[in-house]
Amino acid sequence: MKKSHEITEEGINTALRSSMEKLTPDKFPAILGDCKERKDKKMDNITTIKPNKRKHVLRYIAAAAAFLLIVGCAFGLIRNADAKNVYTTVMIDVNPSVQINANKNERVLSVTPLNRDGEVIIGELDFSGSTIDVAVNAVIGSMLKHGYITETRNAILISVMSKDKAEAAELNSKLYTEVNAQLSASAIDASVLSQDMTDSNTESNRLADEYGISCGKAQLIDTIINAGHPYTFEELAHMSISALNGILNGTIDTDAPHHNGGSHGESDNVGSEEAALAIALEHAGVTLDQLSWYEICLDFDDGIWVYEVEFVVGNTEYEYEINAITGEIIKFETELDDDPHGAPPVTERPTQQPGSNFLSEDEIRAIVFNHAGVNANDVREFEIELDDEHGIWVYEVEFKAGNIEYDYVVNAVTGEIIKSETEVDDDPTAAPGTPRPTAQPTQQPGSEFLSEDEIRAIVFNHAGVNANDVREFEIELDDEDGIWVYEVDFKAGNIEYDYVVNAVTGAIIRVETEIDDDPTAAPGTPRPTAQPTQQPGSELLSEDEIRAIVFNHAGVNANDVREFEIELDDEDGIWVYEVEFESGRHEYSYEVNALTGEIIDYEIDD
Amino acid sequence: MLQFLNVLAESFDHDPARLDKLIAETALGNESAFEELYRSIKASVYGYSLSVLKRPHDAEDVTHDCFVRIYANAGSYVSHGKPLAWILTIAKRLCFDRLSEQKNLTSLDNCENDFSDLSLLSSDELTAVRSLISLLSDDERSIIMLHAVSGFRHREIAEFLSLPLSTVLSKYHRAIKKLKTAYIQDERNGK
Repeated sequence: MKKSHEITEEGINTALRSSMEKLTPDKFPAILGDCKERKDKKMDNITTIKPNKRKHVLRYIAAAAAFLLIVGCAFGLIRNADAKNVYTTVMIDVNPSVQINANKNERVLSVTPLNRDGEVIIGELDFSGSTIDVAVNAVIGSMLKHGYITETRNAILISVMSKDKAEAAELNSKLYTEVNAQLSASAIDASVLSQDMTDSNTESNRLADEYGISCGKAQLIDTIINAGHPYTFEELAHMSISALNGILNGTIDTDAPHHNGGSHGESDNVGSEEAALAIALEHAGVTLDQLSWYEICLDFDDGIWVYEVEFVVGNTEYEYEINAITGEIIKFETELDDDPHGAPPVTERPTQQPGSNFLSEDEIRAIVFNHAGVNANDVREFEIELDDEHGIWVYEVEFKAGNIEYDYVVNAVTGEIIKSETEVDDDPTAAPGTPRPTAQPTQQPGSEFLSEDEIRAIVFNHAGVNANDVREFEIELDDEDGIWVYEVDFKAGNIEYDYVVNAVTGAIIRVETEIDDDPTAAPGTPRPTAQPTQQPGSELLSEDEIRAIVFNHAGVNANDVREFEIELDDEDGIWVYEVEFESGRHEYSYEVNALTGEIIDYEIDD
Repeated sequence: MLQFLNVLAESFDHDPARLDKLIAETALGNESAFEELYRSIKASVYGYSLSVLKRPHDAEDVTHDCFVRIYANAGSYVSHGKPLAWILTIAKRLCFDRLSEQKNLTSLDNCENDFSDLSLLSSDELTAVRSLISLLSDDERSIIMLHAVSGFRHREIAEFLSLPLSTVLSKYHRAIKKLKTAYIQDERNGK
């Protein structure tokens, strides 16, 4: 057989790199052109809207009226307790709508959602004590995280109302700059609209209430109407901020479908929201009475007017995008109700606030020392810290005892040990070769996890090694793919073992062995004579059994085998051992069914 | 020798300090710096996008959009020493947006024909690209691409993709095995 041109890992990587270099088209001129065009356009998109000066008659009492208007504003959201202290109000509208009330010192008194999406944004966030800009930053951040601000939906309306007009203007300007910077840092092109609400009028506030929108949005609508755009308040009330922005700055040149389905420059349009809803319901196969909630919004996306229809049936949320003229369904999505926009998972803020139902430090000490099997008096360098991880409050604990370094993560409320790690203390001052303290870990009361001793038993058994021959033992609790596992490493003889074991059932998920390439290990150290027994309850064949199978098949003697590697893997739903070894002039690769020992595949190379 | 030069070129192209400087210059409106930035890393952006979207046309679109974004936001870039990670994060988001549109498409046709000019490639390169797209899983493709083309270390890949390091390592090795197999098979078939 012709000696094959054997490709190496490096060869593959180089081939990929050079092929991408060759295949990537060079489109720089077009890109630069696009960049410049956007730069010009961006100047137009960002507008600061001056207050509606139509009703002069109210101006004199504007300052005092501002306070009253806040009270009378949409949804009656101002809590009575706040009312007296509210000095400044900031409203943020994208699709979610949020209102921030603050006192004279710019300290936040309350943050209230004005619609359902706003509720999602606020969630369990607690703003008490923060300043306005921090709260705004958090709200914008939440909107980004939940996918309410994206590349295509990126107009944000910020409306500021204050008892002090000069302060309002200054705050307006500051928030405008900060929000722009925040979005820019996430590389999102956004249009931030800021408006001064201090002179807002009662009529638009009343309408805001009637149509269920924020006063800020209402005032924006007013501005559009006053600029001469031929829409009614009602039509504009159902449009997204992006669409309103587009109308205002003239980037939207197509007339929106008329609300009542009558002619508005366009004939044959699906016309009304009700019609759009009907289309969506029919597609989803549900009826109106099954809905627990719905919302319809008119938006302008990719050059066409679309209705965005959202509704909830049971615990499923549906989202549709329907061409407002043709009724064609452009996009639809369904999700479980708790994550409306399917944004990529990000660490959530914990729902519980630090409070008195957290275990005390003494209680935590008791728990971890117990688990580690150490005496409090032997413990050195103890450190404990409260933190939030994946949405729950935890204590992060570190300490040393003997020559072991311990790391724990403990649920701060229940005391459950979430993660534990031990390492040989690599402190040079510790005596080398100090025997590991014989630990007597006990299972955490109430915890379902197997103890370290149980895991040791399982893996040593599977590997066919004696506990006394084991060196450099490391064990770490981790979560992998949604289940709790122990990751175990150790050496025995000249083999390095790597196990991943289900922390609850003890099932071996993955095992890897490698010749220990530690130069200090004696070369050619004989492998310990193993007496493998099948792990009680475990169905997987042991490594020794696999060795027997493949050596037999290959017709080689175990003593002639070099560079033996074995790895447990799941392939197409079944457990297989992937085995590689060398003998004589040949390189062998096997894939063996880990339960039955059947050889699935093999290859022999020169 | 050629390989050595290639490696040299790669490390030069992706040198973080150099890229940071180019981004800063771009922010000031320096077009030739922007062009140099483009030439240095367009393959990284294209390659990564291709690994996610699998379609050359879409990868081209995302690459275009990505650089437009970079240009627009260069001023807000704050260096943490990983400019390529910042840039590919932008690409990642653009790919994600596009994926949700792609979702409703059914079959993934043989998209080899979408490549502009495959005749430029050597047979090794051709095998690499073909097998990358057809044999590897989503994660495996991205991991291999980030390592091979963008020079990301496995730890950096783990952080970028939000995967545990051990997962990245095992998927990487599995992917390499699959690609090696493809080479051997191509060899046997006399390609």
